[in-house]
Amino acid sequence: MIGLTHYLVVSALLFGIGTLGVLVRRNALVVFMCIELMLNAVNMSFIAFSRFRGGMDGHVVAFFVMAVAAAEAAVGLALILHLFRTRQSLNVDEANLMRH
Amino acid sequence: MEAFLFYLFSTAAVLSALAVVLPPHPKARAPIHSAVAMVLCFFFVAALYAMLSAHLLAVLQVLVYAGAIMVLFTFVIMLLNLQQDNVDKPEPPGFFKMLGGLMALTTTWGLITKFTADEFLAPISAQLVEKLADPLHYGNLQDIGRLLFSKYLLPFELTSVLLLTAMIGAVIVAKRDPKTTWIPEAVKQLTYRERHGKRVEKGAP
Repeated sequence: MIGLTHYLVVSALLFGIGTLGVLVRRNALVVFMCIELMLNAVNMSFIAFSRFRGGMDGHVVAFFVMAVAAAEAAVGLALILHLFRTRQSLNVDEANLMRH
Repeated sequence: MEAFLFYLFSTAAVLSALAVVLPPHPKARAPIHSAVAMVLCFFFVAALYAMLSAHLLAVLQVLVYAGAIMVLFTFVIMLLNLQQDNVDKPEPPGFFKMLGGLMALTTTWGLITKFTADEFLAPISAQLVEKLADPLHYGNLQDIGRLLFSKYLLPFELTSVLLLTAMIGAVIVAKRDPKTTWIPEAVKQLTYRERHGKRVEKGAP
């Protein structure tokens, strides 16, 4: 019988993989994708909790998280575009100044 | 059957998420490989949502994440001229990468031990509803829409403001400023006059 704990463990694994990517990879685009992965893992735990408690409020929260993720992707990708235009590189280690 | 599908989808989701972070092949370090693995991962997570009878969110996951956000990522990857950028070259991991890996491992281990502990679910286990009375009326568009427009009306309206702000911000940040930004020669688009070095005569083709 698949219960709440199973889904929470999968969600924790996905979150951990996202954390690993944010900390280990140096490519700004891949770091950004890993942030999306972490948001997805949290969404899954919201939906699992709301399924096993019988309510639907978790679905609404996951819906809002999706909207915030879309907004964040648009702004973040614009920032990455600008970073590449000014530095000709996507390496996050080289982007260590808060100016051009 | 349910257990088989759960293990199938969750294993596939975790493996494709790992393929995003750690490239399975040293030649697959380009961000486009990560993006494709990410789309795969989103599809398997959508399947897990469907198993949790969150039908609307499973559809939204495919439409918004795999459809819109990852296509945006792919557009940006194509827009950037990434051939010369040798970021993430295959090298033995240094001290800080080891430290990052250790931190991620500790986070995962802490979360899993917390989630599998008996006392974690004890306070809410009294309310756990494992079998729903009417699965047809759970997680569909009608009921979520009713919640969105009654209990969560204010956050829902604020989301539209957030999306508008993000749209304006993205346009302003991504706008090209010719004084400060660098444009590669191959990408530079010349006007007709610059290419031919003469005025366009009236009536010329």
